[in-house]
Amino acid sequence: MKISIKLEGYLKYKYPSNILELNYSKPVTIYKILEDAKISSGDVFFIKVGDLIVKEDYLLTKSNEVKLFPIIGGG
Amino acid sequence: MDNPLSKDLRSLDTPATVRPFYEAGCLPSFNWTTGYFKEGENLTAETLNKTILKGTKGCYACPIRCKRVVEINEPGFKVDPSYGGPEYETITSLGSICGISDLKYIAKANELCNKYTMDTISTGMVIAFAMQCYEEGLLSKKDTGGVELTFGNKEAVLKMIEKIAHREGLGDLLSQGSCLAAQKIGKGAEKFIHQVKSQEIPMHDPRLKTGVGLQYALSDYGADHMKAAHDPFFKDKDSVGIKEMKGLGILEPVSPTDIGEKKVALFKVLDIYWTVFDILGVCDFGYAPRSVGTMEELLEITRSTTGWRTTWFELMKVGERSINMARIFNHREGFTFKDDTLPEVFYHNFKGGPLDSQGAISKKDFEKAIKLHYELMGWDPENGIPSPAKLIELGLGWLINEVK
Repeated sequence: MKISIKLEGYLKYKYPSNILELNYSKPVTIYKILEDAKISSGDVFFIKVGDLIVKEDYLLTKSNEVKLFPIIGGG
Repeated sequence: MDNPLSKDLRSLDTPATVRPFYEAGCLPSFNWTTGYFKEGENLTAETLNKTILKGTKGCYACPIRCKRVVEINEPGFKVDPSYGGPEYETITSLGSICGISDLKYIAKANELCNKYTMDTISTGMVIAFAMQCYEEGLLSKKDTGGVELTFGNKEAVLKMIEKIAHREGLGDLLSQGSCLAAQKIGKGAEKFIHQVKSQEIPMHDPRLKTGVGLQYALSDYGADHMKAAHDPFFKDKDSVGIKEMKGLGILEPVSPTDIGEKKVALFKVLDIYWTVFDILGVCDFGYAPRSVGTMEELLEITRSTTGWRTTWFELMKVGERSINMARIFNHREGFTFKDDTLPEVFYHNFKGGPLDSQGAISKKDFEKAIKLHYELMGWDPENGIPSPAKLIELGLGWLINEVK
């Protein structure tokens, strides 16, 4: 299955490409995807899969787009 | 400029916050009745940049240049660029909070508020409060001077800003803030206000950042979202706050939604650290964890500009002294621990959107956190008044008579 990772906000500047694609042969957690894409969870505030806001232990069982939103401060 | 946080501030500035909040369903909307705003795309930084942004301005030599400059020059509808453009707080408080999704009208409302030197957060919040009163039948068209004060009525927002500025009709009442207005309207209007110490709350939801809730509750001057760095900077061992602020003893990550002992201890340090920013007069966007400058650099700048061979230990004491003096000022003026609260809405789950039925802060846990904060600060755990011993430690012994 194909997992597309879409980076939002400052993540676009911090990581090399704002859309990354990874392929897996079996279900995979968001935690593992972040590890494989070398994205620090310390940079990620919200994770969105479809219409759901999920946590890093969410298990993806089919091809999907994962949107990553960065940490947000005040201002 | 290599720092990605600073680079994002430069290109999108604080409106960058709109997209994650609206996509997550936590963009404050319709007077905080929901975080789900389906027209949120219209309010994003990307939309602003594509439609009305004309440029940016900044303080001398600043690489971020956070001031947005917007201009609209249409027949019968103009926005003067000299008043700047809307920031995140303004887009939300004069936009989604009032059910408005038209950036042009938000820019106009921002222009009017700046022209009349009115705070955009409080102005938007007091109008949203009046809108809810109108929709619930607590205010009539006669009360509003003929204005159809419903959520989403963008012309009504502009009219109400004018009425507030000139203290005309209902505007005279609203100009005194939503807290006083609710008391005068009566009929249960109090349940539609969202304030701390009579100041309307800003546009960050404490259900996702509990430390922001502590800021709102404990700020001496009413709810404020810029009293400390926000929780996400400390969520993970690799987070920028953990990496950059070890010098203040911040070593362990804490979840943004945690409201336990670790969060309270973290908040204490961040509150004092941010107070030092205010005292030094430096920009909140300039230094760790929010931006590019390190703590060491800020210390060196302070030393070189003042000639004062200070240390972070000493600066933190200065910050703590300021917080304690403000606390005693409020005590003298009649504020008590009962004013260190959060609006009720945050003790309930989100309604609608991706976070539907989630997020409520436990009131019991939050009240426990406030008490712990008092103790960590050296204040009486029951009434939140600084102890004589704490005042002596800070060189404020001359204030002891004020706390007796």
